[in-house]
Amino acid sequence: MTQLESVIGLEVHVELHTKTKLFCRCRTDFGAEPNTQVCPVCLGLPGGALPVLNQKALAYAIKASLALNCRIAKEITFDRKNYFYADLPKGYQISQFFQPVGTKGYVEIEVDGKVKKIAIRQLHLEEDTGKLIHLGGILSSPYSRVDFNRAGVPLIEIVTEPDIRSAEEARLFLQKLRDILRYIDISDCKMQEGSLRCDANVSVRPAGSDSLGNKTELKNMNSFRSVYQGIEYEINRQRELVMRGESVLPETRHWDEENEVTRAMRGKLASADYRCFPDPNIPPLKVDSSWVEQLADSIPELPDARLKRFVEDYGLPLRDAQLLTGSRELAEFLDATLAHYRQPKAVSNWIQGELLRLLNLENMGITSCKVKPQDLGRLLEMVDKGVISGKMAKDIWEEMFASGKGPETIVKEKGLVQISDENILGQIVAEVIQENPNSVKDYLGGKKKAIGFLVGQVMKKTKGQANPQLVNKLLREKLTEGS
Amino acid sequence: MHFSREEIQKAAQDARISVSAQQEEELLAELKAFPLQEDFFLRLQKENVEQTCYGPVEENIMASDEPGASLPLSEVLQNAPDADESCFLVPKVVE
Amino acid sequence: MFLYPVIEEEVFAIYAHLSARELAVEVKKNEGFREKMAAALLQKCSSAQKEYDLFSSWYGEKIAQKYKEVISEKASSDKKLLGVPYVLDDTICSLAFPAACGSPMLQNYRPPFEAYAVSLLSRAGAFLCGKARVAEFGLGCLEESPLGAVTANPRGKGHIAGSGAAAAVASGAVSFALGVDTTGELREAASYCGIFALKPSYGAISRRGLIGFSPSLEQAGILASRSSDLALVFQEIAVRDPQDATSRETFSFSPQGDQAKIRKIAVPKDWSSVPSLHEEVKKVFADKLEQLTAMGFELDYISLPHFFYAPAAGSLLAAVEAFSSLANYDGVRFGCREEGRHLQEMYTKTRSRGFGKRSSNFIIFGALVSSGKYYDKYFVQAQKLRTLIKRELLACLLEYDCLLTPTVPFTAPLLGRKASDHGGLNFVEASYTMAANLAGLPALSYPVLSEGSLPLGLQFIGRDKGEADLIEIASFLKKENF
Ligand SMILES: [Zn+2]
Repeated sequence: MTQLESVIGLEVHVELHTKTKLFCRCRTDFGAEPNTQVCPVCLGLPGGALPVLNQKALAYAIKASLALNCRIAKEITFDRKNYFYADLPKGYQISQFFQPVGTKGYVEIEVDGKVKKIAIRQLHLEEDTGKLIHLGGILSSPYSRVDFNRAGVPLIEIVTEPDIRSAEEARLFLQKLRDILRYIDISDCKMQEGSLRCDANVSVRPAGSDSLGNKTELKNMNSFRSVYQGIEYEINRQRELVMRGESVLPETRHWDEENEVTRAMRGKLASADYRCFPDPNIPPLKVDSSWVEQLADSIPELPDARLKRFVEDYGLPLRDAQLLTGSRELAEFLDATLAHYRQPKAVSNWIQGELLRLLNLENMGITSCKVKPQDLGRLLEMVDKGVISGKMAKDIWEEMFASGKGPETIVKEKGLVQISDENILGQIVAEVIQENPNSVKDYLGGKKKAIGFLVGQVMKKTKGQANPQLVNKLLREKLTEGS
Repeated sequence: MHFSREEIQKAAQDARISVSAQQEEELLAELKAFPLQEDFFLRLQKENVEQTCYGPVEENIMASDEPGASLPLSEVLQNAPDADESCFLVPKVVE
Repeated sequence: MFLYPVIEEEVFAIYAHLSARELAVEVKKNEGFREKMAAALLQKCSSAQKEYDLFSSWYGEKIAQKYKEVISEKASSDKKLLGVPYVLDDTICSLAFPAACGSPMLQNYRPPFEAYAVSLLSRAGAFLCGKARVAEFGLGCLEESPLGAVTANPRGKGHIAGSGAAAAVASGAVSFALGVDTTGELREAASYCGIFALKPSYGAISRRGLIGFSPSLEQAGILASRSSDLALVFQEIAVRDPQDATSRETFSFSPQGDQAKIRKIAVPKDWSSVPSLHEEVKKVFADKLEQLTAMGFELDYISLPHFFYAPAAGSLLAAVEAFSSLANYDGVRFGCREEGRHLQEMYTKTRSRGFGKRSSNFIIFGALVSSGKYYDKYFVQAQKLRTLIKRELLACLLEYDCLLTPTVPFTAPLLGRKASDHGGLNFVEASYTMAANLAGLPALSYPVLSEGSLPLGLQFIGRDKGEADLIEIASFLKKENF
């Protein structure tokens, strides 16, 4: 029997974080009371369903298309996808079928150290549906409650070509996609909250074959882990079927997270006839090329380019660069800090250590961090110049993090400047030697470690402000002098 | 125009309308009497003409992303055949 | 029932002979007139309702009181339509009345918002008397109704009016009406009732609040007894609506009284080969063509090979749009519901009961010709045919100032005839009207009245945004007792 390869294409839905819906001016706030963010347009009331496109949503879709290397349509249209379901108010969903915003793009992922391109067939705008609340589970519920707050919330759907060959590739693609979309700041991309959703078309075929086997559409994968597990399970299930000489049914299957299996969904076998046609309520829209250029200029450096720069220009280890570019804000914090204080490794260490430690401790995101990057730069500079000690820097840092004040201010307020004056320190060292004859004796008797105690005594007297290197030096000198 | 009974039934089902045998007869007769017939459409198929799907239009109308008023809940539910205090109610979705 | 008040004849006639402009001036300056007007309105609307059954909902005996209330609120400011009474097709939303749209599906439906055009009319001071009967969802003229009531023709005993709104204007109960024209309904009813109708260029009047079924064809239009009233009302409501993406830039509109700019008139040379054309209409139209020539107009008979395919193309396209646009009638958020054991059964039961026969056949027709197997064969070809019809008309109107046809091939049909008697999917009454909807061009129906016979209409199709030209020629011809 020849080897079987899996062929996977993904359909990813991303909720755009606009203030209002795609075609009406209802709010999109998460968690509002049911049916309080609806109007005649998004409820599909008779005579009320006149959609007017949210320009911001189109801008976001164009930015996403550009970031995913798509071609941008010169003219876009919106089409009706007709079907009946309780969460669909108008009896059709407005989507893009004939002239989507973006086509023919790609995303690069790294598989076994090699770069692989996953082609994007198209990227289009569409409306989200409402939400059904089943009382006591979908199967046993005698009736369902319908909340239309989500109906009409803008989504982009990204459809890949069937270029993906494994569950791992699917996971890598999805993570890369999420990183890119977060960088351009169009969505929260949280799978658990449903702002990033992924369906997978999975089939298997003899390796090297051009034909496609029957595919199943896999739904309900609500985390990166379940995307991986669901696809992995489905590939194995199909392989076993084919090995046994049975055929794969073209059907929609549901990933059952709890039992870690995929299950066929009832009544989803027949392929529906959606009769897609242009929505006469929304005339074709010209996409202004100078607007597209403006949007292109607003796109920040994307994760791949930034990673490369961090390694090549900053000389950061790959692992550091990967961690920092995983979040646009962290990477920008690093860039901004280095603009004031060009010690990449030191700053990288500080961000990964101190900054992330406090953020995790406070359960905060970097965006709500009060510290300005230039202040971190100056703090590290003060350590380098010996103005403060490393230990003091950590205390000052905590205060900076809590209050947002600059390091100089805190140093001044608390009188934290390091004492590096030999005359002052010399007097204190003399006092300590006089007050601790036993330790002096120990030291002179060969117990070199006793000096640690003496240093500690000096620090105590100076409330930690003494320059420790200098104290060490002075103690040694005085002790040898006296012997 | 000629359609089979099955095609009429399928279309009616897709439109969620049930069709009696008598209505099916009437529809078949009306379709048969439709002024444009298959051969006419076949001739059109060979012509290279763009499609018109819209009324005359001039320029883009879009809206800025500024929230406007939504309907008060009482008006949202005022025409609902079945609803509780905040949601529309529908019979179970699984057959 | 209530007793109709007895009103002296002079009071009764108080607004019948006033144009909308004159009426508004009287109402503004004369408080005593308002009192009489309110009483006359009650009398007129009551008797018209009793005679013709034209309202689907209205104020009834409260109308006089309501009139006085509304006008006293508005009388202080300068309003062009102050106190001018009008009705709406039931398919246009207002907050004051339900919108049953002639369908069991929407009985008792109260829209929580009003049409943009209605807001504009209200701002201009016009007084909405009520909602007028339409065929179910305004699909075709009102010949039969799943709700039972069919409005009778004030100018032809025993015949249909075509719509409650046309009867309201023709009876003199109101000065004008706002209605929806999707395949020609507004112009056809005007033709049956002997009044003017203006179907404007597509996008001239906002479609927000129109309960329609075919967004690419439908357009709100005006019915009136005077061409000058068409102009006055059009001016108030032809305003761009930022909440309707198909609404177009407000264009300058200033008809110059009754001097016609139109000189060159095209007539389709095959105008008389329409199979359903009645002898009487044929004869009157031929006479009118001669008269126009005698008056010095330049008439040419030109070939428009695709013009007469318009009813079929329009029917097919409207049916597909209706299949989709009427899918929101699902028994969930509004309208009637028939319970089912599960969701999909509820849908089917609800829609089978809620839609009348003509609508349901039309929806199924739309589902058929847009289904996977027939999508390209029929639906796409009809969209191409639409392009050909539109091109042909635009080319004709480059050379000629307007195109002239009868409005309907026949006069008002008898009450009691069923739409299916002359083809439910085949819009014979739209033989001349549908092309203007497919091309989005403005069209005006001009009434031809003669003693002892039923009224009929002449249709002038104008250039895009050429409403002023059409109103001017109508005013000119009326002045000439044409
Ligand atoms: Zn809304």
